[in-house]
Amino acid sequence: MTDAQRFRDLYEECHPRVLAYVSSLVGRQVGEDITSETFTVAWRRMRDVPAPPLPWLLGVARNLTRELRRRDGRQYALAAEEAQRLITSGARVHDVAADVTDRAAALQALAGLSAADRELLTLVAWQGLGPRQAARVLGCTTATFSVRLHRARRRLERAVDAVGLSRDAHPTVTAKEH
Amino acid sequence: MARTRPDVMKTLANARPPELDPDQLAGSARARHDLITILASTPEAPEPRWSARLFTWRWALPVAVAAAAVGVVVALPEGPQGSGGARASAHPATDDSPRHTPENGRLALLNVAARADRATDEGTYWQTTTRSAWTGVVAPSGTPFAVVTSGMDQQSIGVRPGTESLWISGLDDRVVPRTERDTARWRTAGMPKDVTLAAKGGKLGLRMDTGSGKKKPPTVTRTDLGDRIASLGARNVTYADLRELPGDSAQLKAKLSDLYEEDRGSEIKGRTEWMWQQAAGLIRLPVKPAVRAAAYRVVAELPGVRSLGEVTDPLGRKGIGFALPATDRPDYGTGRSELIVDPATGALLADQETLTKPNAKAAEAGLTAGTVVNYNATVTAKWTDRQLKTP
Repeated sequence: MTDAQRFRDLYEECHPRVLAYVSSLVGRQVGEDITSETFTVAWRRMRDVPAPPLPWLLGVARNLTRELRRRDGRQYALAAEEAQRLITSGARVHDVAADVTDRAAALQALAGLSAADRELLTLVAWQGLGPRQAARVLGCTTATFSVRLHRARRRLERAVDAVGLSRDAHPTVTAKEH
Repeated sequence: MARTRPDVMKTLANARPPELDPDQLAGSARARHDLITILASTPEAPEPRWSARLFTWRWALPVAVAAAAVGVVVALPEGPQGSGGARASAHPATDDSPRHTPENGRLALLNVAARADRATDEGTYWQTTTRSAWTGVVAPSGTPFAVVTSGMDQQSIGVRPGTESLWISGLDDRVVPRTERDTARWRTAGMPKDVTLAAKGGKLGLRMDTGSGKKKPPTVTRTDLGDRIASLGARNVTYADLRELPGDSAQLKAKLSDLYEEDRGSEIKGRTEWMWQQAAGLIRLPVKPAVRAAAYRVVAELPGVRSLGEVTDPLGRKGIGFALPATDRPDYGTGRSELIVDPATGALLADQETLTKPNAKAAEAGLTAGTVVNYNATVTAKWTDRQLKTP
């Protein structure tokens, strides 16, 4: 199989996932650009791409995102806000079903956490990475990752509870209840 | 009320907004476009320079990106005689015959616009079938030869709430030498299955049809993002957005100008080419007939637009041709963008890119002034209430 074919397969398999990940950090528009850059790097270094490739790709994407932050703080801030909006837009539901309000609360809670916590939690919950793979993306040891995930998860639970309380107090703010 | 606490990670996993769901993000025009651009850049020359426009219109579907309604492309595989000769029309590529005046082009287009106003306009799905092809030059160590990549695709844009938009591509895909002579050269080169296109600053690999082996099945791609069904400039828009486009050419032009400002940095070079391609893209979308007419009027007002008189489109249909002035086409020499329109109905039959002067390599591969190196021909375009059957 030629490099080009391998790259096509890699691209088909991983592009949507990298884009989803980056979009959760910086929104769709900047996310498209960073994803594009990520795969340009992958193409240039096709022979360095390990198996499974996804954690490596997400790690590259993450570095590029941080580079954007260093280079152009203002654009990064705008992009990060866009990502925040993307996440919280899912929290504005008008559905009384219990699981829907649970999900909305989870998103609202997530949006209120630090960027670092959000990143950790979404790598697991949305990218479906195991601790070893996620640690690889973040460039830390698996043990460190597990500890950080545990803490982030606790903070998320507390934030969900807080959201639930404020919802009960002001039932019309985010979800209609009768 | 007392409910047991659900696993917060599970809840979170289920809460992922659709905008961040990889399944919803797969197969965008931007993704395809990037793939081509990246593959075209060699590790030594990371700057992607090979015009990814090659594919843009083929992939110009719906929701996508700036890339979507953009991009001229695609060539003529087989002429009516099967020669692969791809002549746009009987007349040569010189532009100095008296009837090819800009004024003439403008008036002819305004006539077309008047016809386009009358088409019918309703349905659940706007469906188009498109045949397209493009020519590439392969430069092995020996003599260069030309290969034609052609195929057909169907696009169905669901405009009612809850309908899906689908794009079926890869129907009848072929990659074959352009002419007998190219076939002979390919044989001389050892009939390689995988060939590499000579493109400025990059490479693109193609797999030749060898007659044996199984055909790749068509690809079905969902192209809507919720209610976003099409792209205008860099924006993804809803059907309501499309219906709100002005049928007045001055207003439409102003709207497109705004979109152009927003879309600077897209791969289309220059305002004229951008407006031309966006307008042509609009004509193919489910817009009101008056908008289609206005789009023709916008094209008519572009600087340097000329009429080519009666020409034959890549599928052998008679129409009238319009062209922009020739510009550099890095992989071929110089060439110009052309539209071929059915003057009776105002239907856009084809857009194509015709060489006006091949560069040395293209000439060696047998491409001449007048060769259509890219085309995208609309076979059918209609409203219907039935979704496409997927293969």
